[in-house]
Parts: sequence; C-alpha cells; structure tokens
Amino acid sequence: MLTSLILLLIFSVDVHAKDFNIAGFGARNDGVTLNTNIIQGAIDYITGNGGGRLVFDSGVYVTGSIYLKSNVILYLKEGAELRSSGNPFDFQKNKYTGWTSMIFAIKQSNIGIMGKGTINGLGYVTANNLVTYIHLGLVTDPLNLDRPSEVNRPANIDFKECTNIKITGITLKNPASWNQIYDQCRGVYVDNIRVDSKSYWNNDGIDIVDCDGVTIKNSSFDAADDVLCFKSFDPSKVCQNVVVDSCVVRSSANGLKFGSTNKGGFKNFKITNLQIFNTYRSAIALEDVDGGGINNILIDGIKAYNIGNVIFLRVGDRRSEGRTPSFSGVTIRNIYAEIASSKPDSGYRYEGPFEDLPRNIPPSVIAGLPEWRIKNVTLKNIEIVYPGGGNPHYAFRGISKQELESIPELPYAYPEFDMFKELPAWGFYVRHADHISFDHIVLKSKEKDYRPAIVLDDAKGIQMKDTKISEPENGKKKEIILNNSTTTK
Amino acid sequence: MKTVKIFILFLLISLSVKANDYKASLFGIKSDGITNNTGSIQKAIDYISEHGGGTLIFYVGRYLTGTVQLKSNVYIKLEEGAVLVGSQTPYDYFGTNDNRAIVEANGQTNVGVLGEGSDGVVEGAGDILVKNINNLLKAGYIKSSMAPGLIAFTNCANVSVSSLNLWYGPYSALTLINCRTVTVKGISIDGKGISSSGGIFLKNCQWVTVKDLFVKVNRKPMVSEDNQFLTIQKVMTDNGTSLSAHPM
Repeated sequence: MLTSLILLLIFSVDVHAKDFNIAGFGARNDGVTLNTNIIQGAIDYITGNGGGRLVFDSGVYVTGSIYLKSNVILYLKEGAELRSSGNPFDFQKNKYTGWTSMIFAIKQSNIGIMGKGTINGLGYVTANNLVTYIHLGLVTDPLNLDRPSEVNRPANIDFKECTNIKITGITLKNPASWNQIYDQCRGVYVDNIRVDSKSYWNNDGIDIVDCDGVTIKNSSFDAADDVLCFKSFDPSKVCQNVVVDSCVVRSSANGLKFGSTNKGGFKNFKITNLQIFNTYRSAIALEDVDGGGINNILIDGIKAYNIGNVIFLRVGDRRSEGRTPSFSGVTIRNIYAEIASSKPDSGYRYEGPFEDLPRNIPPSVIAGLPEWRIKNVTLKNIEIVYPGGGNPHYAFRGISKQELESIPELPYAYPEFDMFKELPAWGFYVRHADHISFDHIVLKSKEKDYRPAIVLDDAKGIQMKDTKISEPENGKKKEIILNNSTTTK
Repeated sequence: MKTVKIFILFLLISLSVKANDYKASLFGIKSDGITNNTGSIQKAIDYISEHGGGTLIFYVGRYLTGTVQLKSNVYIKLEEGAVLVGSQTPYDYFGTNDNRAIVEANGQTNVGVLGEGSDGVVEGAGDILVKNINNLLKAGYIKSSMAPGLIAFTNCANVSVSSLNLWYGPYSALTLINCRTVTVKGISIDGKGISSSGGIFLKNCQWVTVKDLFVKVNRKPMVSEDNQFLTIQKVMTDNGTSLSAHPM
C-alpha cells in the first residue's frame, strides 16, 4: 500500500514537472561564479510555484550550501557538475541535522537529484582549507586524529525527515565527509548512480539512517570508508524495508555494513546481486552492538574478489543503554568470495589503516556474547577461497578448551572483522551462537594453514550439511573443532 | 622609572591596536576579483566581533562579494588600491529595500567603512546588475527590484564612513536610517552614469556630521528626512551646487 502510494507520488511529480533552466536565474557554468544564492533563489521560486525540475546544462556550477525544497528536482544534464567552492565558509552546519552539507533537505517531500551530471564536493580541498582555519584559531574543532570532525566537513547530500526522494543517474564524488545521508526518510529511490568517494577520511558510499522504504539498485560505489551503510541513530526508530540490487562495490572499509551505530534496529532487508572487489575489510558486516537488533535479512548473490573478509556477524554491548539486542533471522546465500593474500585496497587514496596486528588472515566471524547470542542464521551455497599460510610463529591462537575460552569477549569494542586479532580458524569462527545452519559450504585454502578451517565455541544446534573443506598438506589435522558446542542434522 | 612605565603603557597601547587589525587573507579572502568572498568576509566579521572587535583590512586588489553584515566593533578598512566589488548576482544581496547593500549593518554599535587617504573604493555592479534584475523581473522569478545600495546602516550607533570612493551604485550609495552619532567625511560618490544611481539617503538620524563630499549621480545627490543635529559642510555636486543641511 505504502509502496504504491509512493509510486503514485513519483509518477504524479514526473507528470506535472515543469522545467526551469538555471541559466534563466542567472547562474553561470564557468567554474568560477559562486551560484549558491542563485540556485537557492531558483529552488525557492519553483517550490512556491507548483514545483518542477531545475535543469542544469553542461558546465561547472560552483556552489556552497543549498536547501532543496518540496516538489523540486535538481536535474543535472550530462556534463553538468555542481562543484563545491572549496571554501568551508561557503557551507552551513545545520543545527537540526547536526551536519554540514552541500545539498540539504529537511522535512521536504517529492524531491530528487536526477540526470547524468555530477556532484563534486571537492572534499580534499575543502577539508584541508578547514584544517588550516582550525590551526589559525578561526574555527574551533579538536582535530581528533588530525582531521576536522565529520559533522564539520561538508557531505554532498544531507536529507532528513523527507518523503519520496529520487536520486538517479548522477555521479556523486569527492565529499569532504560522508557522501550522502538519508536520515529518517520514507521512500528513498536510488537508481543507476555512480559514487566516487575517496577524497578524504570517512568518505562513505551511502548512509541510510532510520529510513523506511529504500531501494538502491544498478549503482556502483568506490569509497574510502564503508559503502552500503545502514545505521540507526534513534532508539525509537527502525531502519527497515530496504532493497538493494545489482550494485558494484569497492571499499577501503566494509562493502555492506549494518552499523556500527544501531540503536533502533534493522529489519526486512533484501540484498541481491552484488559484486564486491578490492575491499579492505568485510564484504558483509552485520553489527548489533548498541542493542538495536537485526532481524529478517536476506543477502543473496555476492561475488567478491580480493577482499579482506567475507562475513562478520557481531553482537556486542558498546552502547546498549538498557536495550537488549536481538540478532535473528539472517540468511546469506549464493556467495563466492576470494580472500586477498595482501592488502586488498593497496594504492587507493585513503586506503584503510593496518590494525590489530599481528594476525594471520582472519576467518569469517559469527560472534555474539555469552548472554546475547546470535540466532537463526542460514548460510547456504557459499564458496570461499582463502590464501591460507597462517604462520603460528607470527601470530598464534590454539584450539585447546583453555585457549579457546581465553579469547577475549571484547563486548565494548568497536566491531570489526579483525577486532579479536588472531583467531583459531582460517575459514569460520563461531562463538555464542545458536541454530546456525551451514548448508553446502565450500572452504578452500590455497596454502597450508596451522589453524583448522572451522571453530565452533559455545555454539548450540549448529547444522552442517555438505561442508567441503580443502587445504593442501593438511595431513591428519582436524578441520572442524567444537568446544562446548552441539550440532544437529 | 616613569619613562619606562610610559614606554610600557605605549607599548601596550600599540600592541592592543595592532592585535585588533586583521588582514583579509587570514580568512582566505581572495583579491582576484572573481572569487565570491561573501562567506569568508562574513566569517571574518563574525570572528572579529566575537573576539573583542577590530579592523578587517583589505590591501590592494579586487574583492568580490555579496551582502556582508557588519557587527558591533568591527570596521572594514580599504587600503590604497583595495576595491570591494559588488556581485552581479541579484540573489547575492539580502535585506529590505531600505538596507539592502554590499556592506550592511543593523542594530550595531561602533561600526564603519574606512578608506586610506582617498583611495579605497566600494564598487557596485552597476548596469550589469540592473540588467540582471530586470531579466529576473521579466521572467517573473522576482517580484520587486532588489537593487542594492553600496553601504547601508540602520539602527546603528557610532558609525563612521570616511575616505572612500563609492562608484557604480545602482541605488543609493550610502543609506543611514535611524542611526545615532554618525560621521561621514571625505567621500566621493560617482554613479558613473548608472541611470538609477543615487547619493546619500539620511533619515531619522541624530548627531550626524557630513563633510567634504563630492556627489555625481543621476538621481538626487542627497535626501534628508527627519534628522536631528545634522551638520553638513562642503558637500558639492558635479554641477557645482553646494548642498546645505536641508536642501530638499
């Protein structure tokens, strides 16, 4: 019902769209003229006069912060670029959203950015100019990690509490912070966009926060930080009813990331047909560390090459604040992945940092807490090729009961695939989890590894069907180790 | 001992004066005539006002801007060869028909725009801006003219405007409404043939001194309404008319 209503709204906007060329308002596409107030004047006029498309012909339109308003579509024709001035003083930090951005929209409906053009945040320039002003004392910022706070650097898009958003066809590149944020929006439709987001730290691909009704499809992402990011900032909200289909992903962090902030939970996701490559951390990271919950998630069809890790499922107790997490009902199937033997994102701008060394190449991880368990996960038809070669003289974790139970729980730590440093398996490490189904899982190690393929520790009702493990020269090594765990048929 | 004390006092005074001067480049303000500096100049004004006041100094160059709002205890100073250039974009100006201008202040104390000698220039966008406004009017995108003045003070106290050239103004060059204790001196206003160019508009002000002015504009050189304690000395128009306190 809601979907059809949204479709109807999209349809009606398109039908009645009237075109207004930005040139008519005096904008210059010369790459020099600051068009902020002209674009704003045009948006204000169009929203007050029945709505329509604000059309940008080919050329470079320099701008600072603008506010998109109801029934206005920014339509960027091929070759049209909305470009940051590079001057942080041309950008606003919005008190309501708490972010700095080029394009804001707050409590608006039927809005969009469409066409074949580009939004270019000129992030490296803008961020470094801001750093200079902070050092001069003109702007107050603690410069943690020698960078301005994320909320003080302009994102490309920051939409909050908007309804019926269309982002199609465009290229979003070089933000100074996160790239595109949709927070508590209903009806977000993203189709056929390209994201090139590696001009500065924290350059995400797309951030969907506490939204209801989201489609992301046919798009490609190349980002320094997490790419497909789902978050829940508000404990009273849920990030839900999300479809992702046919996207190509490259990240110096995680490809698909649920979290880390997850206060209200993630529910009803269907993610299909992703290609993930040269990605430093996990292809799939589902994190429930703030008590929000993760329920009814289907991830179906991923091909991943040259990545740091495939699956990382985690329940923690970082900022639960009285909430109890519920991680249940996750299906991950039809996955083929090749794990990198060296740094997968080497050479990319703002490549991911080395962390938690020394460690051999980590396994996929399913790790709850003793009292907060990961439940009902189905892993089906998954093939993972590992480089192997885990060297016990470099880093070692043994498989005795005592050694396994001495692995720290780290409930308060930031969730990340390598957070436990060395783990005692090369394929899968499962701890504090119930009713995990391994159905036709193929694990291949290219070289001998000192560790077994799979370690189950405090895992109950684990189903293993048709598991195939291959590792050269593994002799009589037991590849599946159970500690305080039970399996069923 | 006494000399030392006086010397230290002098040093302190000179230091404090120096500390209140801010060069425009500190805030990333560009002198190239094409970078729109509105955001940076406004940041500079806000910063200076929040840090005890001072003078924002522009050295030689062309500084493009839209409306900037002066704040209490902040002065803009245009050194030799410095030109504050008004944007050609009507949307870059804010305010009401009375106080829309390149440099504007409302409800502030101790504010001013000062030149050095008589070389500082505030330059309106003149005919191009008028044309752009007319295009927007014709398209129906705006309802009223939006023509900005060059400098406008409303509801301010202790206002100084001195040693400046005010050129190419598409509207009143200098507007003062409901201000107290105002000094305007050593100003050359030249509309440079802009048909809508005006001179000084003075209304509801008290304790105003206007002296040593040359005014060459297409509309009235001076409009003065309901002012008290107004002193006018040596205000000449281009045809040799000397304006007195209540010439209109």
